[in-house]
Amino acid sequence: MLPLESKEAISGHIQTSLLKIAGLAEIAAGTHPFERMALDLRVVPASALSADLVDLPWAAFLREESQALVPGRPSIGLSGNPSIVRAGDVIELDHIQQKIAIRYRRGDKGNVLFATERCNSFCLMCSQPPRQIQDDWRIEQLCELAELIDRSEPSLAISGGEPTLLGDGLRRVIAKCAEVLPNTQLHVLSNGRLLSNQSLANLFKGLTPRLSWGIPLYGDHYALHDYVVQSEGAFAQTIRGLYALEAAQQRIEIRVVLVRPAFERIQEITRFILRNLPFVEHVALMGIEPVGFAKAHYETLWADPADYAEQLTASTGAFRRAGVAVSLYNLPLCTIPQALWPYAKQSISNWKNDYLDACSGCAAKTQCGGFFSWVTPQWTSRAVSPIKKETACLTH
Amino acid sequence: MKFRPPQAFIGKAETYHLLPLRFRRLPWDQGRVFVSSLAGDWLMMQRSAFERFVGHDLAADDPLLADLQARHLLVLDQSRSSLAPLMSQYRTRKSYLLDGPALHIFVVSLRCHHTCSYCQVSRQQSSATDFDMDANVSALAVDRLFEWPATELTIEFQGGEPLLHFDQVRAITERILARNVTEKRSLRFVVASTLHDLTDSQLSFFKEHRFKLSTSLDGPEWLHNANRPRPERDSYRRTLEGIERGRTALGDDAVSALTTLTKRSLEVPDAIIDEYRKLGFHSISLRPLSPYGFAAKTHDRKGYTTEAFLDFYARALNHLIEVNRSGFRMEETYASLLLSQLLGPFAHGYVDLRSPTGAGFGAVIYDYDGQAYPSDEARMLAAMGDARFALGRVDQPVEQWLASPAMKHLMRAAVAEALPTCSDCAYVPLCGADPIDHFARQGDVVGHRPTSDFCRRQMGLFDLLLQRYDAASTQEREILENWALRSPATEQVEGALNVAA
Amino acid sequence: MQGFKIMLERRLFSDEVVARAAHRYTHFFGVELLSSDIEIGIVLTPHDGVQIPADLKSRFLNDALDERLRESVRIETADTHRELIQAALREASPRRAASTA
Repeated sequence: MLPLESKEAISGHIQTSLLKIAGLAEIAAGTHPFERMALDLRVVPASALSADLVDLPWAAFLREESQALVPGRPSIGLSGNPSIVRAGDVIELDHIQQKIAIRYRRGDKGNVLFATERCNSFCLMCSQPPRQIQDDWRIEQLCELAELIDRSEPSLAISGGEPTLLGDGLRRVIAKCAEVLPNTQLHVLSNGRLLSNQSLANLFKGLTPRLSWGIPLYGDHYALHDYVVQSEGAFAQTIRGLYALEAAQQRIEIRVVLVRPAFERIQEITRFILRNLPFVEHVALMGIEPVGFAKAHYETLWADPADYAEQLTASTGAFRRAGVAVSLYNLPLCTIPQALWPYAKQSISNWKNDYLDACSGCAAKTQCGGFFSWVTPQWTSRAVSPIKKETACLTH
Repeated sequence: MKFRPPQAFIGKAETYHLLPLRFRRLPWDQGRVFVSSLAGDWLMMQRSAFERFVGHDLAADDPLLADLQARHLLVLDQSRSSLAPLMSQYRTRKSYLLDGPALHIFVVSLRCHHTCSYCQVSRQQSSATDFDMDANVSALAVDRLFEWPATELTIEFQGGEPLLHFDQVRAITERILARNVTEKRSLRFVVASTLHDLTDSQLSFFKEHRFKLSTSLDGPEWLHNANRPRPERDSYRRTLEGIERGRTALGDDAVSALTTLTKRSLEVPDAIIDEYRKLGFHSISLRPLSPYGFAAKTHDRKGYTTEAFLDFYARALNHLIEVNRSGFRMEETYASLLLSQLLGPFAHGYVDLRSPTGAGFGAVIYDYDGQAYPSDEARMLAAMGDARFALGRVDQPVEQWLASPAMKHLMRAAVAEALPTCSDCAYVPLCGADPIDHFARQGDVVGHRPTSDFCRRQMGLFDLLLQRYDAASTQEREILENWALRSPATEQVEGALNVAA
Repeated sequence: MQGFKIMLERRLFSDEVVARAAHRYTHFFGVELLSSDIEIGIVLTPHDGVQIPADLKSRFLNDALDERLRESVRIETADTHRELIQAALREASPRRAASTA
């Protein structure tokens, strides 16, 4: 686990709250104004530390606590794990609480642009419990953040809460990303409910072909889906939202978090998707993240993937035969049938990804996505055990 | 935040509303019914449960309620449901309507080498050039072609034997390509030919324009030659040579074959399939005789009943599935079409079996003499003396064709959902209307379903495939699903399965 | 040829239901319908060469029961059926304006 937040010593007054950490590459490339960057003194060799370099209008300097300050200039002194923040990352400073938050981490495959804490659903397994709070200020901040993210970043997620609650603000963020990050795939995680209003969906028409939407579906009839998301009418709205997105020529992925009520119904949900939503580009079947509301609903939610091998095989097979791309997320290889390994992706964001002690002898460890850092024994499949070399090699 | 149990989300569920549905008692299991929705989604259930369902007697906790909702057969709480998926399914299945006719058949000549007794075409001798399409007619036909709005066009050359008038095939193709520089449609070219006497220059022309070749192969040599006499008695050998040369020049995937089933053919389903396997075909079309052309005259001697065809087909299907199980992938095109409708939501790319009918709405035929027809069958009827289904001439704009008495006559019976007996049939969302077939066989475009061979054949095949799928092992289901779901959808118009070659 | 007669109570089966069921037999049989106040008689006269099956009555009864179910469905869903088709196809519209020629 590599946290996205840390208490560090911030001294001096720093004008901007978002800072790009500049290493040698950033100095050379000159892609961002110095006023928005913090020079990482840990990576600059003493020989290069000239007055010319230091006198540039850096917003701040990043150094290890033990390193010398640059007199008269704002600085951030790191005392914890040095890997928490590195060159290329973008951090947000909280002077009052003396904290830094990593808003973008170079090399993490799961960077998220956090759109809002608000949500209009209350999923039983919500990993980001919502707060009713006025946080439209995030729109502007995300636009600023986009400007500091590496242009070479392959992909970003936009999530929350429910991003569509930003309305046109969401469109602005996406348009900004399309403009300053033209090579980056953008994936919005949304329940799709507000998109049942065609004029909202139409805001996103023609914005960028690199935009796609990840929309969860938990049932093939309203009672089941509405129960999982704890909202009456959610199923009908999400379904209408899906058609509105399709009419607005958007790329769509369906996500199914494999909570037990949905896992029990997964073959019927599969059939429903293939019959009613044949335009979806991808389906993700996802292991539960045991954090947030999920922890309070263990009895209701926990389904050991090892007990559902048949259903997983049938569903993946049905999608494959219909030509719909399907992936298994957050499911360690030892918990699923070997025939399904090609569909398993290493999906857990680096910062919250860990392996168990049991994994030390596993021959498939480098191919396997591992676990969420917050996994506990009760949220761990009984099938977890190291895979032998002979078995692992069969997949190559 | 208080979380609520499942019961809190059932909504107003004391009563439910039926959505439009149709049902059929399973012939092989009278205690069960096949129930289909407006859009062709379906499930099977006990007839007694179905009766309770229709009578609003299903208990609130009956597991069937979820399945019935998911297939849009009933609605519980309307305020929490959406009919959008049902309408989307319906539009998807009928999406072939949106673009206008995509299949355009040019009959460049009636001349042919063969003297097949079942010939649907009313062929002429190979020297009778009066029966060739002339340059004037072909130029006008190309003008008409581009009046249609379809963005994807499949142009198919037929005869007789179109290669006997290859110059016209070339001229028409080049004319179409020249026009298409400004039109920018997506074009596919097909030739339905015996492939006898293919020359290298013809092959290189076909290669240049990425033609597909479709030929007739009735089965093993003895059967093929018996069905398709040439004076030299060597049709099979020449066909194989043509297939080989076609594959070499254009690639294996570019050459397809279909059978015409005679009385003799019905005796040997396995041998026919084994012949196709031997030659490495991954697709076979088992086409029954139709009542046109010379086939009508020889019917009593050489014809067979629909029951005999269905019996043959069941045996052929059995053998075909065994072939697939043994590792050789091979589909039967009509089974794939029917399965694509049974097992998926998409419209299929064939003009057969559509409602509204594919005749005129999906396909147009430009005959050698400048007459236009809505289907090959309409043309064959005209060749037999009844031209009532001719749309008009190639020197008239297509709007006139669409307003012609022929189209009006056809349209009276073009929508299967509006035909007697069809309107109640559980297969109707998956099936189609064939007003011209009914006219040819029964003397009336609407037709009489209890005595309709067309109906008996479709129902027999749907029943057979459904029964097979219902009882199938996982492996066999995968085979059938692969046929269904790899079947051409609307991206590609495949043509007509009843095409003569 | 001897016709085979089946009697059905009109309070259980509407005329339409009986007619629709009888229509299904017109391949093999000539069909005659006779009605009184309380009953409908269906007389099925086999065409040449057609054998009367032993279970003809129970078959016909099953078909009549099926038609009765279809009638219930029709009564409840006819309006919805029409509305759904119209809504589904509403966006289908002509590609070009009709020519004035």
